[in-house]
Amino acid sequence: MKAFNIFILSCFIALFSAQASSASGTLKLYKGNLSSPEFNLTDMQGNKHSLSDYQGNIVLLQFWATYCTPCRKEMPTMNNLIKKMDGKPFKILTVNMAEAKPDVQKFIDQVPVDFPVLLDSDGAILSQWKVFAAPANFILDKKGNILFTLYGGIEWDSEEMVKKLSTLTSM
Amino acid sequence: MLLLLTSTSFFQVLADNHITLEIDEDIEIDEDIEIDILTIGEPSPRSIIWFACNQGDETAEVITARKLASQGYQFYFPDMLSAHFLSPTPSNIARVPTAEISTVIQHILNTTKSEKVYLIGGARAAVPVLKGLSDKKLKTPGSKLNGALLITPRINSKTPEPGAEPIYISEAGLSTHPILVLEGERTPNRWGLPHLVNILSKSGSIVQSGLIKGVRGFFYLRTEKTPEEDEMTRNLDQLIDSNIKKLENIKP
Repeated sequence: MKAFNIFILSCFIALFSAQASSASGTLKLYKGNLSSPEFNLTDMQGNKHSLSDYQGNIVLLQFWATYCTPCRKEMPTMNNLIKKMDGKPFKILTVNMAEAKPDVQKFIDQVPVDFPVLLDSDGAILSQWKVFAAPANFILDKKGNILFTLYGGIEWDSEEMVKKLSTLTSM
Repeated sequence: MLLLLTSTSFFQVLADNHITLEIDEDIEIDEDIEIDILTIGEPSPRSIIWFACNQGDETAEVITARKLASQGYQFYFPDMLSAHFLSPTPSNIARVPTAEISTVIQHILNTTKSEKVYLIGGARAAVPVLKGLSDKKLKTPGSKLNGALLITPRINSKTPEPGAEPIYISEAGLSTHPILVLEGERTPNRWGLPHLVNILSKSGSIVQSGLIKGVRGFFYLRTEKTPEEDEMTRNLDQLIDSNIKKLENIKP
């Protein structure tokens, strides 16, 4: 059964990456060397989050900033994505790119979010994850490995994206 | 064979009643390739060759140059695009051939009365600066070329990818001149500065970097500026002046 799942996942990734290579703003198969560096960060409410706590879920990890216009535009679609993925092992985690907490709070007051916003106050996690653009997105598998990346804003609640992420959660 | 085709001098009266000398000259650097160079200010101890993404009388670059013209600077603005019928856009400035950039810099080095010459390029216009610096002809000992100031440089050769270091144009890292890089505080590119400094240093350049407080990348080129960006654009002359002096103190 496990071997069958790996086979299906391989086919899915191959199909996914073939689609991704033909269009911008789509998920791209990750070919780098990072093995999703662990982090322990605090959210806006003071709760601590370790990335390893999220194993067993497909995770959309997004690095964003208040000055990033696409980030502002796509966050409501991420709220919708959570609703559409309800009941599935799927989580969204976001990491703000080393901005002051009051600035982040001001942004969230304007653009309410239904997912944790973690603070990387000194940018150390950004450096570990090699993030030099915003928004920078990573899709992690249930073991925490990076499957796909995506640079730039998209509509996360599109039918196509929900279908892709749902397929990943079922593996 | 480089030919001076025309040269027109005129005086520009500024809003604060300062008067600057401006010279518009056309040089032919190759058959069918004529480059227009706007010179602002009288011969001064320092000259700056500023590669700009845009052209025109009211650009932040020209306004800044006019302010600094009375403070010991002479500016040269080569129009690298018109000869190729290219519109003044960031992507086009990166397409100008290295040989043309190098010839223009060499012409200015040969004709300026300044003892020290610096290059400036912002955003995508940092590409021609690095192309120029990469040319071996400009690396002669005793050259007046003293270094380059890159303001929020955008020199990627590919779209950035999460989880991977940026990939820059091949000319990055071929310079031996001092380089000072300024990046906006409010841009993700600031996190790539250590990598950029490392790449630019590869052939011997001493490279330093700094952040510009409260602004995003290429702030002075933006049409919709934040109040902080508006203020920094108004004070671009001070930013240039202080950082050229800083660059001057970087000893190879």
